[in-house]
Amino acid sequence: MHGRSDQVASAAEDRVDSGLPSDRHLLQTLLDHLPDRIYFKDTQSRFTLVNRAIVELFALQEPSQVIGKTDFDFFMPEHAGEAFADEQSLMLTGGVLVGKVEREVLPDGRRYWVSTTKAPLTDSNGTVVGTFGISRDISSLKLVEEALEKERNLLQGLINSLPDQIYVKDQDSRFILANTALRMFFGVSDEQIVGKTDQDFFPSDAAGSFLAEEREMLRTGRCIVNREARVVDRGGREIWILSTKVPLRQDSGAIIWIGGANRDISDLKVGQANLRQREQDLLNAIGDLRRAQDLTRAVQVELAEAERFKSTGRLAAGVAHEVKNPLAIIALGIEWMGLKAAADWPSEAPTVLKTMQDAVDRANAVVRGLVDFAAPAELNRSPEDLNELVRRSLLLARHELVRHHAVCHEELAEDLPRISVDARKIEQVFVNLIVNAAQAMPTHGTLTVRTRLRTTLEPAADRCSPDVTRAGPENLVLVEFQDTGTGIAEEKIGKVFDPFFTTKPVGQGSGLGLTVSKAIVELHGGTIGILNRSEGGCLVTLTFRVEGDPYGQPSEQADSDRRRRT
Amino acid sequence: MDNRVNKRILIVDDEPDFVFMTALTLQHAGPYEIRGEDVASHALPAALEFKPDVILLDVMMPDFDGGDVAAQLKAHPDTHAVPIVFLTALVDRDEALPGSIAAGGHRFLPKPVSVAELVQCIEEVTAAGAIAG
Repeated sequence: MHGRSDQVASAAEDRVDSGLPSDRHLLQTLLDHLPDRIYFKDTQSRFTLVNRAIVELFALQEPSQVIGKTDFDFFMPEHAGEAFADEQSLMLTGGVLVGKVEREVLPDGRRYWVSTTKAPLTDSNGTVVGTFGISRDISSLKLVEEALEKERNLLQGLINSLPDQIYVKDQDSRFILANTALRMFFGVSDEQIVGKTDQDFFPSDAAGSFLAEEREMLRTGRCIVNREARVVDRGGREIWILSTKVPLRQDSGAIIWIGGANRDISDLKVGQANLRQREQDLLNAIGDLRRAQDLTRAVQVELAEAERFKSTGRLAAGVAHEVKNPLAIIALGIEWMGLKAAADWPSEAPTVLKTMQDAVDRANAVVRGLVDFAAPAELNRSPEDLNELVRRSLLLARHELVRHHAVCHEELAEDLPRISVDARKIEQVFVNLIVNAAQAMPTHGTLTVRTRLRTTLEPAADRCSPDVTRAGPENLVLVEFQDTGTGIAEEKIGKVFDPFFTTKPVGQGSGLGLTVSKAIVELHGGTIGILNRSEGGCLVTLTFRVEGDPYGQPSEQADSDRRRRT
Repeated sequence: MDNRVNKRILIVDDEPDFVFMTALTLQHAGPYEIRGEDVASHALPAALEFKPDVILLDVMMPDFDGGDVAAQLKAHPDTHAVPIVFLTALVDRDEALPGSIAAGGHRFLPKPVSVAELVQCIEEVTAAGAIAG
């Protein structure tokens, strides 16, 4: 140490001429203005030279108060001992200790971190005469570092505790971070996942699409937020995940990573599906309820109607009884007078009797129509071929057609489904319509009777349940009576089904024929409509619903029904 | 069958005018002996006494209806074989078809009825009865 001071002194002397202060002074000035703590020690680790930073650290006034003392005089023994051992080792080996981070504790409780560099000090002969060192206070740096580590631990703890799968990938879509949830999902450790890609964990088509979308994100900076996707886990179980991916940017703004989070929403999806199913069930139930209500209402209306028919039916039957007995008496009386006609009766007598007889017949027809109208009564239904009923009706009404010189065309569709009807009542309707048509063509004309099958709706393309089919299309059998007669005045056509409305000359019609026909057809659930044809004449259209599987009815049954009736 | 020349017809109807008019026209139409009753409960005693070949019986009557009277007549050994023709103003189409045969083998004729229909019906049932007897 001594020799070195001499060197410094001589160097200072060399510079006296240049007007510079001595080297010693220069050194002390430099040392005292550096914030780092600089010291020189002898072989016993006693301070031989210290700068102001050290004096201030020890809360002293003068360097002389430090010179000759050791670390043991100022630091807690643990640190002082370690520093002493380091210095002894350096002097022995000639090595250099660079940037050793040490935690120093002062007896007054102050603690701080330093970065220390130490080296052995040799004289001009190369003899080790002590050590020197420089300690930089890095407490603030350490604080930042500790804060960063704390934050890192906090974040890591957070993402590892979350049930969502969280990850970061690099620009080549390799994992550089994955939280516990994702590692468990993949079944790999923390080290194993780094550097891996989706290709290592997912089927290649799924992995390919993930890679493509991540490339796109890197290019465009777009995010994917809450996208639902179906993936297969390691156990082959299909799961639904809600996936969010965002590009992560450097300070420069360049995208360098992709960060993402996946949430397993399989249970939610099952729940949703259940909910949807329940909602559908509920809607179905409401639909059923509505239909049931409609049905109830329809049945109530039908019941009320039936009740009305029953009471008016009874009334009509009573009236008929009371009217028909007198009619019977009058009729027999007229006949008796005819039989007893004396030679001296006036020549008009037969005409008078004929007129009276016609009047009785008319009154009788009205009463019969009234009873028919009031009491269509129960239907004696059986599956019938409407073509057959049309043919029989034409036969029954043949006389009327012949009388009016009318020609009849039959255009009957083959293979019609059977309809459940009361054959006698429907024949009554057909005969009535044929007679009407004949009477509307007084001198000549053509009656065309047509039958055909029609579907109200084409079946829906997506028939998924029998219920839909049943609620959907409906097959109808149409029966049309088309004449070339006089037609009906437009202002009267709306009234033809009203009771006692007739277009026929007085005495020809009861005014109840179409009324009764309509009641009968509607009792069968069918419809009847009439319109004037542009070519002249009328078209009457009847529709009957095809129910169940009409083709499936055994024809023997229908035949035996018919035999029993006739 | 006894040796009577003329067929005997018993008419039972609660409407006296109808009984009278039917009797009047039938007497004129053929060689018939006619008796009329306008009270249903008199039907059986009248039949036992009059021994008709055929009974024309109204269906709707106030005290007994035609069915009850028919049952009474059927139940009695002296009248059970006498053919019955129901006359009805009840317009039931099945019953009212001219000449139709209801359960029990009885004929039905709807009112109003013509003399020709009556005579034809009477001749038919008495002929059938004769063959059967």
